[in-house]
Amino acid sequence: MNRCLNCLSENLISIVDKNRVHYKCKNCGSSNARILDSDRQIFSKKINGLTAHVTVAALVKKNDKYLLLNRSNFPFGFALPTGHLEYNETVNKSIARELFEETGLVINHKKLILHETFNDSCKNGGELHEWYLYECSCIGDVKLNNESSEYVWAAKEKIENLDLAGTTKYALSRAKIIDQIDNEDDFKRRPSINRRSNESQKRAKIEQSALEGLPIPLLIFDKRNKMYYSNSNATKLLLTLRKDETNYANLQQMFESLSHRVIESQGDLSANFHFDKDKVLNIIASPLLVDENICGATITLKDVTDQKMHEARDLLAYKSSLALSSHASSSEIIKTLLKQTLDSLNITGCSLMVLEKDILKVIMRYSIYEQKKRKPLELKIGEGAAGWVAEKKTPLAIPNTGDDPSFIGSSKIQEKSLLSVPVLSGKDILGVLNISKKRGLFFSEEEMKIITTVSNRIAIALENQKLYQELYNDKKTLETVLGTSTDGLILINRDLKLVFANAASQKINGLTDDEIKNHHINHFLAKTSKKNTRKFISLVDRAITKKKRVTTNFVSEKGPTKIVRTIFNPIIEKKGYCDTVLIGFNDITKIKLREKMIQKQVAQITSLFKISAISIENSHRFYKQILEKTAEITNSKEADLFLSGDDKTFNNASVEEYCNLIKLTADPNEKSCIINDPKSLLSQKSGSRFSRILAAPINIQKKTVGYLVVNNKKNNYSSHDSKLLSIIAGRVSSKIETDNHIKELKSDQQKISEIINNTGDGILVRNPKGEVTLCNKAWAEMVGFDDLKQYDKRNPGVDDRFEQIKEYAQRNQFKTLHRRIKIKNADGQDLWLQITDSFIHSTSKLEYVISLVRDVTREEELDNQQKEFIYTATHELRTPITAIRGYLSMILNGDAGPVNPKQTLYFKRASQSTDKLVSLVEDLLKVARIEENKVQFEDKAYSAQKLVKEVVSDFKAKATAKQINLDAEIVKDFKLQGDYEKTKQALSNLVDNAIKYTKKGKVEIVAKEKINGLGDIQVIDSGLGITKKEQSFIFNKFYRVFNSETIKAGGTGLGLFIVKNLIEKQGGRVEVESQAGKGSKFTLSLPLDKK
Amino acid sequence: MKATKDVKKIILVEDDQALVEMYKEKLKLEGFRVATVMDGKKAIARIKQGGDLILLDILMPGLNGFEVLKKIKKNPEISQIPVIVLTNIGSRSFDNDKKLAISLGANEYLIKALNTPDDVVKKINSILG
Repeated sequence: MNRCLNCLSENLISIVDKNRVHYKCKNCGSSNARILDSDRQIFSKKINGLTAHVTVAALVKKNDKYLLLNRSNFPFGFALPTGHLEYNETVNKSIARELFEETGLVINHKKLILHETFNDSCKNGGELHEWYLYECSCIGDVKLNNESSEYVWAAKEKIENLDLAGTTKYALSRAKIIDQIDNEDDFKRRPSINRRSNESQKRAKIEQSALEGLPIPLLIFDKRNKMYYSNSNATKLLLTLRKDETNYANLQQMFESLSHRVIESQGDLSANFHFDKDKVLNIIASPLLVDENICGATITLKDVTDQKMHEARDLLAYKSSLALSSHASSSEIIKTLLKQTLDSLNITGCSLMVLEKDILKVIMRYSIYEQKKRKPLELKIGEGAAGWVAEKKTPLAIPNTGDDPSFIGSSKIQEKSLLSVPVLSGKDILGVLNISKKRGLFFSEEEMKIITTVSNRIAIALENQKLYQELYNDKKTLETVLGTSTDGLILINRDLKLVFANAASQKINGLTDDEIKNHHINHFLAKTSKKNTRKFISLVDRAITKKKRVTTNFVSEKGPTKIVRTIFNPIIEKKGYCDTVLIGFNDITKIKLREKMIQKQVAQITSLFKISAISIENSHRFYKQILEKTAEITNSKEADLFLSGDDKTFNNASVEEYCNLIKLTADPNEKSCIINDPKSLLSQKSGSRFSRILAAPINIQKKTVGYLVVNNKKNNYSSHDSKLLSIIAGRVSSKIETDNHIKELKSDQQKISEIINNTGDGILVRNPKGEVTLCNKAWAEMVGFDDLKQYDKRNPGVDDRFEQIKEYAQRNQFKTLHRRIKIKNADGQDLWLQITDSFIHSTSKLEYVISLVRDVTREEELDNQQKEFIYTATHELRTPITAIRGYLSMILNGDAGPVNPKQTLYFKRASQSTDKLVSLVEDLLKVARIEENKVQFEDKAYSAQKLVKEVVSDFKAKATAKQINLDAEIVKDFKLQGDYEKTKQALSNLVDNAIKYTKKGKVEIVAKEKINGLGDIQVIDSGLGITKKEQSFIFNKFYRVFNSETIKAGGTGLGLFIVKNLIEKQGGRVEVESQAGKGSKFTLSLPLDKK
Repeated sequence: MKATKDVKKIILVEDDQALVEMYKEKLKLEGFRVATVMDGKKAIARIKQGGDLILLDILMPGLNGFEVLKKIKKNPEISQIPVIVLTNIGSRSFDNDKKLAISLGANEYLIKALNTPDDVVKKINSILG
């Protein structure tokens, strides 16, 4: 039996939430009321044969306040070790244990862990009044935070004795508890709680505070019927009532009389006291029993004004709710309501105008006896009673319609007393209810209230009608949808009865609508196996209790495979109830089978992918893995591979074993062959260990070079296996081809590396970082490494200026760079290297640098020796020449006395030859200096005019001597930049040559400034000229143009070499334009002064 | 021929015997007194004994001409004596040796092979005024 603990009503609604059932009381609306249901009887057995249910309460005292803890006060899931509980009473220990387990307290090693926040929740929650506590016994004490001794109580509850006076008993037993708390033994000795003694001062205080906390107004009267105590709620109420002195006095008399009567009769009494028209108090008086001794009376008060007023309405409400709940149509309900109103009230007429929403148009009229449809009547705002009511939305009473001029049709209708009431839904007006009485009769307040109630009911009925229509439409739509759905859909309720089944589901089971509806689900599942039926029912249950959608597949256990995807969808109403489940069926057998097939194919493709992923780098591993995978994919016992030519066989089989079989049937050049019955082919050769064979040829360039063979599959090889094997064979073919290519490449590579290694020149390939990626033996020997591996990759020994060279080449966009460097080899010896760096780019990015390195140390040494020799030789030559020249000049000077003319001629010739020797030595020295790079150049601005003039003046005599006209032409002076002396030397050489190789005519020096930042000095002669062919050689060292004329003129072949070097090293250029026999033009182009 | 009391003393620092003879001959002919030193190391001591101009070779045994020049210019007793470097090192238009000699305080730098004894005397006269 389930009852609400608050009002003891049996009218409960169960709410399932988070796997727990909660009950809500329909009567009082209490949501956290404790339910006393049958499953709690587990405790009743354990408590001394009492036919009582046990509920649990705990009363905790802390800081002089008493807190009643109940199951509902303990939120589930708490656990904080802020206090502990120890048992003192061994008798009740086991009960206590269970009780506390039930309450949610955790027992751990005889300690109960109690969350301190209970206290807070009790203090703040104010839920204690919901709870009834009848008999209590102490089961132990609690120590919270070691502060002070606390008490915990469990209470037993007697269901049988519950009645309306429960609250009194609650208060009583509470008082009792309080007393017990103080001293249980002491309490027993005392006859009543009102006995005050010095010892019980403290007790009284406790009692009072407990009673104060009661939410119900409570009064306690002593045996002399005098008020002994009133709690705060009661005091508050009495203070309000005392304003009406007469009534208050009557009320006090009533209290006393009731107290007297209950003390006498020892039974409960209840009475209603009409304080005035507006207030009705319900008084419940109970005798106050302590240890079965009468010691007074308790009186509780309840304001039942509302209740009384509702009584008349309740009757109507009851009947109309019957009508409402009996699925009657709203027009029937309205008619019933109107009739009931007429029956229960003293009225003459009752009618209803139903208005269309918003537009005040009467769409229906009801009178008590008939339902009339008249022409639509427009209500005029503010006109007539109905119009007024519809506008103002408040009731209107007209004692005599005849007196009211605004009343429509007053002449036709009998004069009467009229009450018009709006029928409202929220703020919307749905209609006007008109009630008439005999003329002059008033409507009492009570009648008004009843009529208002009726109007409310009508509103509900009208609303329902609308709602129903909407729902009906929705339902129709839904049914149509469900009916056309190809998925089976059934609706099943909590009792496992079918409520609805759509066409598709009927088709699945071959049952008709009638056969299905309202039948147990077993009927629907008649053809389903027992196991599946059980599963089905449990899933329905799960969907309802957990309120969660469940999806599962049912697989038929008998007959052909059938997979039905089933979705259990709980239908959850607005308030969270769930009573029905919508179940959808979908035959997915075909889909599943296809899925399986696809999975199988995917697995095979995956395997093939794995094969393609096998690395071909290691041949041995490749073939091993290929064979393993092949056997796996084709479900074969073994896989073998044999290749003709090099007698390579893998795994177990010998070539002969297979060949005989394959040759018998296969066209080896075409496709793979399947031999599912080799024994029949080898009848003459018994003992073949093969049951089945599948072979695929390995073809390379249309030639079969071997076979990939699998054998001994459990069942016959299919064409699909054959295809798979062919694919794998293709993979093997490509591996072999790749191997062959690699072989070729390797041999090519070997050739190239042999060439590189046997080349005399060093070859060094570096990446842009400067790391050596390739080098040859010659290079290693050059830099002094015996072994190629010895060198440091980062610092290959060639040069430490790799970065600069790389940048230099990139900046100038050089593809090759020639340079000669001196390094120290591994032995620390100087090494001269001639390096040609080639910068190899791929799409403008530097890929690598190839350096061709030639050891030119010996060459360089010889060169240096030569230079040194020339320098020393020429220098050594100078001293004797100095002496010869000096003495000759002294002789010719007459320093050694007179010389005859012939002697003079001879000495002059000797002197001239010596001069030639001097200038030759001079030129050789210059060349030596130039080649040694020992010439230093100044960088200064100088006048071109001055230069030319000086040279002209130097050579004027020489030119004149040859009858050559030496001229200079400078239109405008300009400044040149560089080394004046070196340029003068160069220009002198050119002028000297010009004079030397010109027989007759003139030599002209032209100097002019050019726009390109250069200044030109030209030496133009009308001399011998130079052929085109010879022009390219004239600037070479020791080159001389050989013809009779030039030989006569003499020369060292060094002059132009010196000119070219001196000019170019200043950043200038020398050019020649000449024609044989027509003279020459030498042009020096020199940088102009930068300023 | 110059007057005796005006006779200037030239110190010839030169290691080649043939050239010593030649320059000595010429200078005497031109009316100079000549003191000859054939070793760089001994040159300073000789110069300290007095002279009006020094003809200084560069390539010599012992101390080379540059070192001698440095010592001359460092010694205040003799640093005022003009010095003509007379050598076969270097060439007419481009040599650092000339620059070096001038920077060390030489009055003139003459290459022996390119200058006749007459040229040398002209230079001496132009320096001595």
